[in-house]
Amino acid sequence: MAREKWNNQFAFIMAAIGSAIGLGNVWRFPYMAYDNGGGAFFIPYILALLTTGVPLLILEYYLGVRKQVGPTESYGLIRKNANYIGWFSLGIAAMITIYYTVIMGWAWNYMYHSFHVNWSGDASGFFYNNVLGLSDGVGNLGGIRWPIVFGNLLTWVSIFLIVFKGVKVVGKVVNWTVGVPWALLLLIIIRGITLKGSLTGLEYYLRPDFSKLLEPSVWLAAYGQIFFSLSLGFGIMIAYSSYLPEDSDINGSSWIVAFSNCLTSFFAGFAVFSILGYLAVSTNQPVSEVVASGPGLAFVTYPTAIAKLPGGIVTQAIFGLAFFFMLLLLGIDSAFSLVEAIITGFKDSFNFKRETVTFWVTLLGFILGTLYCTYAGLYWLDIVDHWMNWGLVIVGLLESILIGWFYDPHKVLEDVNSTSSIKLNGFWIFSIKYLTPAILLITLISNFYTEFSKPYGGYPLWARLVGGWFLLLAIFILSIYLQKLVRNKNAKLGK
Amino acid sequence: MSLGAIISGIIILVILFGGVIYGVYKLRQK
Repeated sequence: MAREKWNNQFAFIMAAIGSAIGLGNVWRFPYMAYDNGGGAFFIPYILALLTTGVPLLILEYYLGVRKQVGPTESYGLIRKNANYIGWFSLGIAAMITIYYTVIMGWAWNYMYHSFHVNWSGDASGFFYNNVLGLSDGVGNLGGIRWPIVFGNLLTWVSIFLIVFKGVKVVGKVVNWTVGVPWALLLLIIIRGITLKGSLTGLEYYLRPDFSKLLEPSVWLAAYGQIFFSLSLGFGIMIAYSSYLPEDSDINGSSWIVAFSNCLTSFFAGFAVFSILGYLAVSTNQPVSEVVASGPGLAFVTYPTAIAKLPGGIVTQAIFGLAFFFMLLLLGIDSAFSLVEAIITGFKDSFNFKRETVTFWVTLLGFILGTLYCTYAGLYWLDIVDHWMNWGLVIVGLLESILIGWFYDPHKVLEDVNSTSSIKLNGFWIFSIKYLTPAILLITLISNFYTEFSKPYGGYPLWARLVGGWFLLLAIFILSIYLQKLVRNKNAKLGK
Repeated sequence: MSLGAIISGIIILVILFGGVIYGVYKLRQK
């Protein structure tokens, strides 16, 4: 049967941008820029984009476009018995999707609470007590927070409806899930920069501190940010690009997706820091006292600022709705791209019907997500998120080593250039063979060092083992098993 | 806002916007 295809290259590019742009662009990047030299951070950031971000994207698009299969089959066409890399990346993708959808469940809840700005007065207490009902420790699950389960259900139903018909529907949906958040971001920026104190906030975001460039940690942060924000290592880009025609422009698409993602991050910084500036000025504090990142920024600091906006409850409610709807849409196309990668993997390797595999993946994802809907959900989310990022670095390392050292990168270079508008030179080979593996290896070693010198988050050892090391190990063993299972199945069929 | 912040903001904007426009231009040229 002929492989399904995107409606056109534009649909694919929008889907890839939608996948890359997610919650991290809003709650991770602006803080990272502020913390690592402000405007000066963009020097290592853009260099990281050009020297590893775009090259790795090109590598993943090459695997998808030229091999015309998803991540669980394409690595094996590069080198025998390498499909475990694809399965491993899907295992990581699955684990991340399961908690990512729960965060979107929080956003659904906050959209509901926006109507009456229910968090006003004590946004922190509202988030941790009223919404999450956070328990006193990771071992105390306490029970299930049903409003979050309901939000999670809404997310999974949306994902199912978007992906079960295939990439043609995805290609249409992404026009909205990318276009609307961009429009909302613009509205939030316009409102943000017209508030008193916004320029003070932006000063913190953009003021360049070039002395920071002498710190290796800043460079590592820039490379890490680029790697994590381009949806690399999940198998998403391989899966998405495998639905493009074989002669598609690989380099041009990678370039547009990578730059659009970074441009969105840059603008998100304006939305975040203009509001932080307003919050700081209206509460007589320096910006450094109110600055935050992660869920704390999106669900505590930002709502605090929203509740202080001039114009009364109607303005605050509209702003709250706009912000959380933007978060929801930013997250949903990243979430369904993760699910699409998993579906593509099972579809390609086991010939399952798309509808069937979509149903089981969404049902399982929803059920397993219940762990994160408990009173200890935030703790588990934090632990699993930390270790899954390790997994992504491992995938990036394996795929660059596979192409750079166990395949002919010159052949790949010639091949991608033959159908691409932007021509690569030998630097791409240098990047894939030496630079990218070296940086990912340094990241891995530095993470190892940090982990053993100061265990993550102060969580008890058993929790770090279960939600971290054992989980990673289990995904790896399962990947080897699935590779073997597919090989035996194919051997029986005489493939 | 300081001059340094304004200038760095403009430079970053030009580079990132320029990157997107260059990519679109090359893709359409193909």
